[in-house]
Amino acid sequence: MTMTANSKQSSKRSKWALDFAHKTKQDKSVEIPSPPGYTPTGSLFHNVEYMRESDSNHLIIKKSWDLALGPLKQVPMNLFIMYMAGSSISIFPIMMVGMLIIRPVKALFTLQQTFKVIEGTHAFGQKFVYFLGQLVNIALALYKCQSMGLLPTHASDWLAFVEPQTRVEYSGGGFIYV
Amino acid sequence: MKKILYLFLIFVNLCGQYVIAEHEEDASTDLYVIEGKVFPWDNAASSGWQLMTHVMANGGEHYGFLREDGTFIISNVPSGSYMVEVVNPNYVYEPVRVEINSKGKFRARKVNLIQTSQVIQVPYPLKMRPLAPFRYFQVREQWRMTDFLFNPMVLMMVLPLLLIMVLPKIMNDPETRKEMEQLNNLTIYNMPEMSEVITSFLSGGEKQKSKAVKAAKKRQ
Amino acid sequence: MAPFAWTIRGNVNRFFVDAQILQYLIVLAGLFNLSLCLYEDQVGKFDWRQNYVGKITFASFDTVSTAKKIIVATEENVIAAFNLKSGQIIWRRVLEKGGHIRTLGGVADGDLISVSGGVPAIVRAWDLATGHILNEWPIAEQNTDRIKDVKWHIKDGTLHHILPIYNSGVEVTSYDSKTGEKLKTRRVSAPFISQETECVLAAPYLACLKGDSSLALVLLVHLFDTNAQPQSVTINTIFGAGAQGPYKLESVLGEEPVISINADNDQRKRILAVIGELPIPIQRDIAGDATLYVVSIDNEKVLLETTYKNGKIEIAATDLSSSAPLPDLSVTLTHTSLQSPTIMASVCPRQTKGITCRHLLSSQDHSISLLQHNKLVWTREEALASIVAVEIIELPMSDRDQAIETEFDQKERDVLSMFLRRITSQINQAKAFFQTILDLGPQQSNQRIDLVRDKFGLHKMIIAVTSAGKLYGIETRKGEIIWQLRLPNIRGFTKLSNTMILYVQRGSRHFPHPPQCALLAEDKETGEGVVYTFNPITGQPLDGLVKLGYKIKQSMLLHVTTDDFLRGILILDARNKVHVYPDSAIAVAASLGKSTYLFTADQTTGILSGFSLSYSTTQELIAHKVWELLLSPRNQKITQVVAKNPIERVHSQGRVLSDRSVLYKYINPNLVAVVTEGIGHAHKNTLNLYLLDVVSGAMIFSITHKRVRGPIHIVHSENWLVYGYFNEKGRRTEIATLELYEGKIQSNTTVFSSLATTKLPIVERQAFIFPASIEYMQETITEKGITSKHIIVALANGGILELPWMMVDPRRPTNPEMREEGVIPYMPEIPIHMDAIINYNQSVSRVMGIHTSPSGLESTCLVFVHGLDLFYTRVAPSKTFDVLKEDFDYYLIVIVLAALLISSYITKKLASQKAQKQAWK
Repeated sequence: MTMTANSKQSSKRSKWALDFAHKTKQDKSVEIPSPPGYTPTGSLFHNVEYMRESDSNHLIIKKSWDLALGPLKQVPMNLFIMYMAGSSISIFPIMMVGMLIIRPVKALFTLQQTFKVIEGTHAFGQKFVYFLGQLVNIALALYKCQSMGLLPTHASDWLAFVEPQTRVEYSGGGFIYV
Repeated sequence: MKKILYLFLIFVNLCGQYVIAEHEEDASTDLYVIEGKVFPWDNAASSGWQLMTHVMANGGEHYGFLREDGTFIISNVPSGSYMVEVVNPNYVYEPVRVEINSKGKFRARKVNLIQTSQVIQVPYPLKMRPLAPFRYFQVREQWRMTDFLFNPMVLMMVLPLLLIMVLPKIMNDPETRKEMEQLNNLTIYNMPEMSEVITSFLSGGEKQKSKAVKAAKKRQ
Repeated sequence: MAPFAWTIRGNVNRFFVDAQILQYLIVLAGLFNLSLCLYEDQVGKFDWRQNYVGKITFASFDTVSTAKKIIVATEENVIAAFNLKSGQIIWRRVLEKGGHIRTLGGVADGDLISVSGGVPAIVRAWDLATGHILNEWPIAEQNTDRIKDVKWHIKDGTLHHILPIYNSGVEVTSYDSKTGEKLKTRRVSAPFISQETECVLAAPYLACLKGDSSLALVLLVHLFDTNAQPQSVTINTIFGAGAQGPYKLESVLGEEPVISINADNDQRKRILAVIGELPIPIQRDIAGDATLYVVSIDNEKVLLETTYKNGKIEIAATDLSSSAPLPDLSVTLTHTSLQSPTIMASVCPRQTKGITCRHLLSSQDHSISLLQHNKLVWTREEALASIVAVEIIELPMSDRDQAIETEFDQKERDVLSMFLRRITSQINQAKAFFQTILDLGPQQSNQRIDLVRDKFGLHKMIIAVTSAGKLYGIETRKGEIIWQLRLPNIRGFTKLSNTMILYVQRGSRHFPHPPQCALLAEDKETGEGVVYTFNPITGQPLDGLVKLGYKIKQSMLLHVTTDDFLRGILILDARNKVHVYPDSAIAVAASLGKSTYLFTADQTTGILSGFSLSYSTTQELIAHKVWELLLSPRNQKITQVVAKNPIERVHSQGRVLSDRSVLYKYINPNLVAVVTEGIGHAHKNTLNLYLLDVVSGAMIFSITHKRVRGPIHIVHSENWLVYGYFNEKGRRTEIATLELYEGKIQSNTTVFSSLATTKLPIVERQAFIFPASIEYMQETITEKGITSKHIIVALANGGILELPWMMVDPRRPTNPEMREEGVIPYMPEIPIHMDAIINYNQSVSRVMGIHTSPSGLESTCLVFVHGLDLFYTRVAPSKTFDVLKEDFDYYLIVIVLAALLISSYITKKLASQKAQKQAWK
């Protein structure tokens, strides 16, 4: 309604200016569809206020959920990196795998710091989800290690620690001398 | 009558044994002589090469020594198959298999340990020529400048270094800068074409799309 | 790649597997570059070779050719020429193994003729100056069983074959010595010759002794004069009255026909010389053990008598006919190296300053020396051509280091006394240091400065025991003989082909106890056992020769030391009673009784028995038979019993397979390989190999090879066996390998007990063709067993090959789908690479044994090869992974580092300057 007062003055200014604000009888007859997303309700004022508050809360929570879900979103990216890196033992794959492990581990250590800004009701849940996400990343990196053969899961990896068996009996002899 | 038969049987028995004994004696050894000639390597004329070389049959069962002209004989060799090799500490000679059958016929062929029945005949009396000198030693790795320069790690480090140091100098020079700009223009000149084509393609598509959306909305 | 992977999911795994194969191939290609060889500049730095000829049987001085030399023929079937002045070998011809040189002669006429071999013999004519053969011809022998009685005489280019025929005469066949043409056959009648007459050749006569009592006769037959009658001389004419039999006839060496007759049980002898066709007995008693030689000086015949008493050699010269002593030709000499020498050849040329006699002496312990007028010009230790036992011992540390070590002798001390000790020892060290700097004070060490342990333990001492009863200590750096010991009246064990047993009872790591070695041998007369203990570093006897008083059947070194670090020797005597040497070790032996087992193998009866010492008490050690195995001697004969090296350690307990699982090795320290050869018509040419556990008597594995001929050479180590034999069917030498595995799980991870094993191991076997003939094989050994094992093979052509065990691995796959690490695909022939021959062109003839020893470095093994020649070198089977390479360029690294430091500093400075300039803009 406040908008109509202003528009009376502006409509006389330019020739080609279209007057969007005044609702003349002519205009009333023409049905202009409302722009998408616009809901012609009366209680806009209140909604905005409420929405602003709930918006900001909502936004904050949304943002923190975004943060919490970050690691999980990185999983496909990591999968792709793993696939591209190859499974030979040379500098590039090792660097990639190293990066894949170190990043989640570092993130886990700075967990408290990252979530310092976030408070709210869902804080614990978000932390947990973040934690889980990083664990999934670590698990992926470990799986990559396993497929490259770096993890000591087989008996042959522990072969160097197998002690030689101690002798119980001692023997000697050979052909008789006389 | 019985006595005669008896005696006859005994006689035949004894004869039989006698015959067997003779057969064994006949199978015994006649001794033969393996002859041949060993040729020295190129510049060995006066170095006493005949002393350093000798011929061995069957890994040392019989030996033959070289005369001054390089000929040798191995005596007292019973019939059978022998691997005759020339032993010299500096040169490799190929071994030869000499077979003497019980009638005294000699046959010399190349040694093939895997396919023992393969026969590639070699002239007899034997003529042994050196194949190659023994290469007992490995050459020490020499460190060459090229090893260092062509090491991929070094190339990876040095080339970017050069580029970093060289490029700013080039950039400072006005002429080259102009040239670079021209190059850039050339490349930029190409780019708009591509992007324009793509935008027109897409916008055409969009127009169609928006038309479709509008139509849909209208229908609503 | 991407579409390949995404389209067929199942092939992703395959892709990874392929990538792994590629990776292994690359690794394998790298492995194939395993060159085991030397660089040319390493020649002679840590290896040496010594040539020997053996005990001399015939010798003569070559005075005819321009270069004066000595020609010898030895018991080892070797003909050699020595340089007169230095004793070095000018040329050497090694004849067939096992042959016999029957005679050598003709040197005086400028040819060299040798008759060698069995039946028929081969006569070879050699060129004196160069050693080439001039001609060779076989001599046919009519009566093959009388070869021992044949005598040979070479003179004026003719070879005479002299054979006494019983009851008829002497048959003399003459041949041209160079061409072999039969010149004539003559029979000289001498009807008194029978089986009991003893005949010796004193050219041109044949002297025979007939009868034994005082009516004995010496009959002389002239072989070349058909008209001459045999002449006889009675014993009484020679000896006068009162001589007692048994008499022995001997020919005196030298150019003249002189014989000597021993009487009175070898107490004295007299000479019968044939001068001017008449036998003239020389009426003079000569000591029974003197050796005689007749040399002619200026057409006068001089008799040289050599006697040896208490280390003093005396050569007395007398005129032959007149018995007048010639004191200026007589020599008296004291020398440790010679024992009962005999003059083998002698030449006394008249020179401007008089007569200088040169005598070539050969002593009973096989050493050869040249005596020139009272002075020994050179000596050669030819006993080293027949070494029977070898040990390589670490050298002790220097006195100074040993003194430091005494601080740590682990006896309980309180802090104060330890502190004082430290202070005093450091003051002593400082004093010694100043003394050496300022060169004051005497060097009070009775050890050579360079005979101490070096940093890497590569300088060691080789103890060699020879069949002549002589022991040598040879240091490994240059092959110098440090000490020699002679043991009178002992010989090797007859049933073991005259070898003696050498044990190291204490090493040189236990200062102040001296290192101790013990030698077990037989007494020459009684056949009872003797033990000789000595210090292997200095060569001094410790307890000396101890006569045991019983015959030794078997012996074993205990594995636990007594308090003073001495390991006792358990000796089983012929009556199956156990003794310990030294007696102080009986307590230790009794305490070990329950875990000690002895086994014996008898070749004649084919019985293998195992004994346990578990019933032993500290008063008495009892051996109790626990198992017995009979390998019937009617169809097989035990030829070898091979156990593992007792100081061996196995580092890795299993093998890694391609699927990353482990195949555990079956390492049984009590496993022994018994090799038997079939005898008799049905089992001829069969080889049986049995793997026997000697504690429980269980036969773990057995295998038979048919149509196979010996000699078999076998190497038994860790969990594998490698053996070489000659395949009659393919007429080639083959090497077969056996490897024993427990399986994928270990039955007992901590302890191995032979009595508790119930599961037999899995045996992998493979055979390969080897393109050369093998003389001996031995595996390398290192202290911790981490280095890979290579097999040192001595070849018949004089080379020594270092064969990696990887080449004879029985798990080499014939169709490699999935390649494992360290396994190369199967090829039937083992290639002999030229650069794997560790003795490059220093051929070693007639190798009888190879001894390997660990050194201080884990990567290096010391190899000592003995036979007719000695050769020593170092091998590094996995290359020297624990030391920097020799040509490590220290200087280059230092220069590069310095250059980089400087350049980084400069660039830092420049960069800061530039930043400053920028900041000011």
